[in-house]
Amino acid sequence: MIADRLLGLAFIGIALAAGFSAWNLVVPFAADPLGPTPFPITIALVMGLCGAILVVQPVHGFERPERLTAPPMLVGAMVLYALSLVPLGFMPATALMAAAVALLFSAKPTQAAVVGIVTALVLWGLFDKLLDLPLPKGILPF
Amino acid sequence: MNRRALLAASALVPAFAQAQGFTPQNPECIAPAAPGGGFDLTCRLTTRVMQEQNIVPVPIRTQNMPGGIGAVAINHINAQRPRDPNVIVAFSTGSWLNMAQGRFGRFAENDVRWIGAIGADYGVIAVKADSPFRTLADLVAAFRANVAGVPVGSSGAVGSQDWTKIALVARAAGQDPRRMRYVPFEGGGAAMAALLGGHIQVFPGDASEVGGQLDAGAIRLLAVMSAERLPGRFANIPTAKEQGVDVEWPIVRGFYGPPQMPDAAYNYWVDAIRRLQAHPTWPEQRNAQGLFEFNMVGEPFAALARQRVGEYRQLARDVGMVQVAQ
Amino acid sequence: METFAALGGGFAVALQPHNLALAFIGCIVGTAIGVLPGIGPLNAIALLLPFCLALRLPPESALILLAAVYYGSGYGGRITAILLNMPGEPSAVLTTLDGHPLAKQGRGGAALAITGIGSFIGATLSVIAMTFLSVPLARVAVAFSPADYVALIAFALSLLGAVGGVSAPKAWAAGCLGIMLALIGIDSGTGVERFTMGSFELLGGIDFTILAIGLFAIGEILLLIETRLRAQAEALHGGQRLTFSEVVFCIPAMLRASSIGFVIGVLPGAGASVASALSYTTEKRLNESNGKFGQGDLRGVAAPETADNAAQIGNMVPMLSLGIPGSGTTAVLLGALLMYNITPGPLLFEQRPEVAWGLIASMYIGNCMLLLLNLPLVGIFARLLTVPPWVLYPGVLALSFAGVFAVSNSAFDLLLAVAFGVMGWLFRKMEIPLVPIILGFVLGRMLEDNLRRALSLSGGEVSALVASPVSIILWVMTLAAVVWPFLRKRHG
Repeated sequence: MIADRLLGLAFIGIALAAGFSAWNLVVPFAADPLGPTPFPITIALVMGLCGAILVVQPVHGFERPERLTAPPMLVGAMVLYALSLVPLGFMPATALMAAAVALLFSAKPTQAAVVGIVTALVLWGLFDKLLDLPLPKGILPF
Repeated sequence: MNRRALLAASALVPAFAQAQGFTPQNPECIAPAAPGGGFDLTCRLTTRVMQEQNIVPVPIRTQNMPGGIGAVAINHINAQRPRDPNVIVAFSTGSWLNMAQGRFGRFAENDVRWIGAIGADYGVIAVKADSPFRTLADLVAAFRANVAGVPVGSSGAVGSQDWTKIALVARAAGQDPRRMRYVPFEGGGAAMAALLGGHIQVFPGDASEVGGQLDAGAIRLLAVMSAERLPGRFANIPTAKEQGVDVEWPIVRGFYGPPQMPDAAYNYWVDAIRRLQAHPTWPEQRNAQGLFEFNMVGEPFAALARQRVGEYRQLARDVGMVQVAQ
Repeated sequence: METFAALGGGFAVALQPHNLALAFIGCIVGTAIGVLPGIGPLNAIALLLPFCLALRLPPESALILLAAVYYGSGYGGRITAILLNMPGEPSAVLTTLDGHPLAKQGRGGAALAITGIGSFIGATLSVIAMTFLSVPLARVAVAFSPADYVALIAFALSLLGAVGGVSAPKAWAAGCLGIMLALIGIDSGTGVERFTMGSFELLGGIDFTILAIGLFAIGEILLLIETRLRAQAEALHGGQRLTFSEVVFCIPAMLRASSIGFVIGVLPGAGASVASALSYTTEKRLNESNGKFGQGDLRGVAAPETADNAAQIGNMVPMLSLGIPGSGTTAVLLGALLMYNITPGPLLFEQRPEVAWGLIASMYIGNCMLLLLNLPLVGIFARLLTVPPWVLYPGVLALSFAGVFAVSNSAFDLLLAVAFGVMGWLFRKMEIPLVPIILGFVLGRMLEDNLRRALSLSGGEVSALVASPVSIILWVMTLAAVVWPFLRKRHG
C-alpha cells in the first residue's frame, strides 16, 4: 500500500513541477489564442488529481524484488555502456556489455565471452558495413 | 583502389595536394538530422558526387547527429574536435536562424568555419488557385488592412524559416509580424493539404515542394523570394522585389567546419566545393536535391553567413524571440 | 474500365522480372527493418536511396523497392511485440497487449499467423480501395480540418479507458505522463522551449523510438532478470496451432480494422499508430461480453496489425494522387521521385503512369509475397523463444542500443532509454499500464497542436470546434463512448 501512496506523491510532484514550469513560461508574443500554457496545466491538473486518488485509495503494494542485486547491476552495465561507447569504441564496449548481461542471465564465463564477441561483430557488420552508418572505432584501429 | 583514385585526382588538378599540404583521411560529413532528413541528403548525395567525380579522392562517410535541431552537432564540433581537419557539417539557412535566436547554447556564427554553399532552394508564397489574392500586392494590401485577418500556415514553429519569410513580408507591409495569424503544421505536406482544403489562405513554402501542385494548376504562386527569377516552371513567377517588396529568402545549403580547422584543410574543402560547383555533372545532381544554383565559397561566403545571422538576430530581437542574452 | 486498363499497364511493369526481384528484396528488408527496434522504414528508405541512384535503377523500379520496404515493415513489427513483449515499430505497441499473453500461453505461433493474415487482408483491401477511389478520397482527406482532427483525437482518447488495466487513476496518470513527455521541446505555436530543463539535447523533443525501447525492451529485460525468467519459461509450453475457424472468427474484426486503418491512413498527419490504437479499442468495446481482451484474444492482435498495414497503404493515397506526403516516410518516398526529376503531384498518373500504376500493381504482388514469406516462417520465428536467454537478451539489448546510436550518435539518447527502462520496470511492478503512456505520447501532442490550430484559425471562437458535420458525428461518438460503460453497469 505504501508503494501506491509514494507513487501518488511522485505523480503529484511531477504534476506540480510541470504545472509550475508551464505557468512560468515567458511567451514573447501571443501567436495563437490558446498559447503554450493552458494545455500542459490541464494535463498537470488531471495527473495531480490521479496522484491524489492514489494517495487516498492505494490499491497495490510494491512486490519486493526477487533478486535484489541483478537489476541495479544491469542498469549499471547499461549506463557504463552508454558512457564508454565513444571512448572505448563500439565493438569493445558492446562485447563487454553483452557479456556482462549474459553473465547476469546466468551464462558460464566462456559462453558470455562468445556471446559478447559474436554480438559485437554481427552488429558492427550490420550497421557499419551493411547500412553504412558509422559507429565509433574507439581503441580499435579499424 | 584508393591509390588509383588518388592518382586520378592528382592528374586532374596537378600538384594540388602537394601545394595545399593536406589530404583528407577518413573524412566525415556530419548530418545534424536522422537518415531521411534534409541535412542527411545534403551529406549523402553531395559526398557521393564528390567521390564519384574524384573531387575528393577518398570516401566521405556520413554520420547522423540529429539531437536538438542541430545544437548537438555544433556542440560536438566545438567540444570534442575543434581542430579536426577531416570533418565537415551540413547546415542550412535554418541553422543561421537558430544561431541568431541563441538556440545553439553559447555557440553561434563565429564558432565555426564557413566552407561554402552547394546550392539554394527559395521561398515562395503560395495561395490556392481560386484565391482572391492574385499578386503579392493583393496580399500586402490585405496585410495592411488587417494583418490578423489572413490565416497563414506552414511547417515549422514561430521563429522558424517558414514563419520568418512571411514575417518579413508582413513587416514590409508595415505591420507587426507578431500580430500575424500563423498556424504551424507538422511538415510542409500537411500545410499544403490545409491550403488545398481551404483551411489556410497563404502557404509560405519552398520552391522545391510546390512543383507538382503548380503544374496541375491547383495553386498559384504570388512571388518567388529570390533575387532573380527562377528557371523552368517558375520562369513566369515574378520575384517579390519586382513587386516592390524588398524581401529575399534563399534556403542556402552547404557545409561548415570546426572553429579551429587548420588553414590547409579549410582551403582544401573550400576548393573541393568550388570544383564541385564547376563540375559539368553537378547541375543535374543539384537539381535532384531540389536546389538551384548558389555558388559561394570561402571568405565571401563566411561574410555572408555572418551578415545574415546578424540580420536575423536583429529581427529576433525586434519580435522578442532571442532565448539567451548575448 | 479505364482503371482496369491502367492497372493492367501497371502489372506489365510490376511483373517484369527485375521489378519482381526488387519487390521481393524490399519485402525482406522491410520485414527486417520492422523487427529492428531502432531503425524505422523512414531511415531505411533514406539509406537505400543512394544505392538506387548508384545502381541507376529506373524510377519505377526504385519506387517499387522503396515502397516494399515501407509496407513490408508493417509485417515485421509484430514479431518481437508478440514473442518478447517488445514492439519493433511504434504501431505494434497495441499488439503487445494480447500478443504477449498469447505467447505466454504457448500460442505465439497462432498470434503470428493471424497477424500475418490480418496484415495481408488490411493491406490488400487498402490497395484495392486505393486503385479505385484514390482521387476522391484524397480530396476528402484534404477537407478534413484541424477542428475535425480535434474531434477524431478526442474520440480516440475517449476509448483509452479500454486499455487502462486494473486501476483507472493509474491509467490516466500514465496517459498524462505520456502527454507531458511529448510536450518537451520547442513549442511550434510560439517558439518557446517547454520542459527542456535547459538541455539542448531536448530542444527537438524526445524521439518515440527511445521511449518505446526504454519502456518495453529495457523494462521487460529488467523485469525478467529480476524474476529469474519465470515469464519466459511459461512461454515454452506448446500450444495449439491456429485453426481455420479461428481465422473465420477474426474476419469481422479484420474487416473493421481495414476500414478504420485505411481511412485514418489517408488523413495526412494521423498515421498507423492512431489507426492501430483506434481499431484495438473499437474491437475491445464491441466485444466486451464475449472477449478476453488483454489476456490473449486473437482479435486483439489481428485488429491492430490489420489496421497498421491498412494505414500504411492509405498513407500513400495523398502521396500518389496529390503529391502530398502524409507522414515522414511518404515524404522521403516523394523525395526519391524528385531525385529522378519526376514532380510528384496531381498529374503524376497522367505524366508517368508507369511509375504510379507500376507501384500500385507491385503492392498487390508485394503483399502476396509477404504473406507467403511470413506464414511458413511463423514456426521459425516462434522458435526465437527456445533460444537460451543468455544469448537472446544480450543480443536484443545490444541491437536496440546499436540501432538508436547508429542513427543518432548520441550517448544522451542511450542514457535516456536506460532511464525510461527503469521507469518501465518500476511501472510494471506497480501495475501501471504502459500502453496509455505511448498513446498519450502520440495523441496528446496531436490534440494540443490541432486544438491550437483550430482556435487560431477561428480567431479564438470555440464554436468552430463543432462547425462541421464530421466533427459533430465524432463528438457524439465520443460522448457515447464515455457514457456507455456507465449505462451498461446500471443495467447490470
